Amino acid sequence: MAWYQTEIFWVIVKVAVILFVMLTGGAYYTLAERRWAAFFQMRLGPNRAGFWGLFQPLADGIKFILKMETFPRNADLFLFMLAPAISTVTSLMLWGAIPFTPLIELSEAAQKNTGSEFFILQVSNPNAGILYMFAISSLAVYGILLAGWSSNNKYSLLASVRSTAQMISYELSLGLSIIPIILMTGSLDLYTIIETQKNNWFLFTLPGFLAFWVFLVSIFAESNRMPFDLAEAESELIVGYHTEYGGFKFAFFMISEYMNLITLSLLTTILFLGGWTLPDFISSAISNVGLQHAAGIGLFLLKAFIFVFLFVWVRWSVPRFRYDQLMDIGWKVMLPASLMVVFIAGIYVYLK
Amino acid sequence: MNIPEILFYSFTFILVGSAFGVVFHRNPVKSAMFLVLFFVGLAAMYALIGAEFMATLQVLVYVGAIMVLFLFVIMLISVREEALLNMGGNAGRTVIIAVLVLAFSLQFWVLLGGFMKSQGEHVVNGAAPYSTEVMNYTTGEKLLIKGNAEVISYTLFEKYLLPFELISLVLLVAVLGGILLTKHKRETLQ
Repeated sequence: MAWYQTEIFWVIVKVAVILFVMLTGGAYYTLAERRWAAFFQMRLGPNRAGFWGLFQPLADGIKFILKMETFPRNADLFLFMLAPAISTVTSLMLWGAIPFTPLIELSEAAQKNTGSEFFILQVSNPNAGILYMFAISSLAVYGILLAGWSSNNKYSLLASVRSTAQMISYELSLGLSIIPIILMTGSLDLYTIIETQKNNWFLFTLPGFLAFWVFLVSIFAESNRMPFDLAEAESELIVGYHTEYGGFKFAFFMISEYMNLITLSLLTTILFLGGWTLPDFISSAISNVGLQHAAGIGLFLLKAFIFVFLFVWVRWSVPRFRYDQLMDIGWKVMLPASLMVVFIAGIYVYLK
Repeated sequence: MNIPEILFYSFTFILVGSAFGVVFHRNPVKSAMFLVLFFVGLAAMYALIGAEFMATLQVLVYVGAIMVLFLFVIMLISVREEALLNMGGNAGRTVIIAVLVLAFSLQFWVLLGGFMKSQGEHVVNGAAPYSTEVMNYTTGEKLLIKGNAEVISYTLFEKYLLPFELISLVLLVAVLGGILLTKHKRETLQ
């Protein structure tokens, strides 16, 4: 067997492709956010660097790298450096389990050259894919917690404590809101969850529809976005837990936030909007199998893009919650609501 | 040495090292971070023997929930570097430490004896159940189930349903007790 026919080589290739797409996507999401924000406010936004400002992320990157490294006095340097690394690594690890494509049967020539019968753009398929996603995303809170504590700044500490409390509270309703999906699928595997929705997206079932709204509110809170962005309430806490971070360390926090948003958009599409599956009436209209796959993957990315836009749309349209309101919504509205959804899903699955 | 064995020994190194870090580091926050590292190492160990589901739950529950709360509380109280206590200063403490050390060495000695006997067998053989045959108690037919999650849930909810429910009852009582204790404190403060 030649070196290019081994499984490990193709896994490395997939990791490299996904890393490149992810980092580029995160960088360009910052540009998209700034441009769209400007449009919402009747401005032009960054449009100087290249056509439509397309080189702006590159310029930002160069600026971040060339900036002087500053460290606050009395900061715990090891944890101070560790915090942005944890944030970035956890958001990078999340893409390891997402199936971007269906299982594609390769042509004979391709089979001979790659040494494998099937192709799927998914780095690894862990035993419980959806739980893997939640386990890794629950690690992201360490980045925020350590950043706030180690920079030896009261504003940072307050922001990180706030943000941690918020993330712990909303993790409950987030975890409960995916239980209807698991009940209806009968599996924890992301691939099976997508396959099950071939002709009926979970959004269009009763428990799925209810769970969708709980899920949507919870991911807004989990990603610390408006209207839940109490972690970086500028008017109260400077910029929150990354007040003391500058240069590339700040860029790490920034890019990991946007990568998380992209991941959440993809995950919402996978869980509720059917991923890359095509309903029968579309797949019967397209005769070519390759075109079918292309249409499915294209639709998958398009559906995810709707959520990418939604994150920006909501951020620049609604005001921020007060902290006690946030906690009230989390514990007194979202948690009972998600428990109710689980109950309804149980009855729905039992009756079906 | 094959790859699983190399991984096994490196995870063991991380586990033992971080366990010592938890005990001996003078900064409580870093102690807690060592405990986090320990749990992640343990999850890696579970994944190595094929129990991916257990590994995921280990990270989700211990690292994602419990240790976050630990760190949260440690950060809220003012943290300073603790000095190592004078070992021989307190007679009672000395006795406790001596008994614990004795118990630990005894256990270690017994385990080592068992290990010596089973020498030659592989330490890692990937023995976690990927599939198992179970009986469906309602219909009486035999099923072959695959995947960690299914195996664990059949064991929990079919085989050991009563003990499982009893444990959850104990946990419920503990939760109620916790709420009751904090409520009581708050009233006396006001």
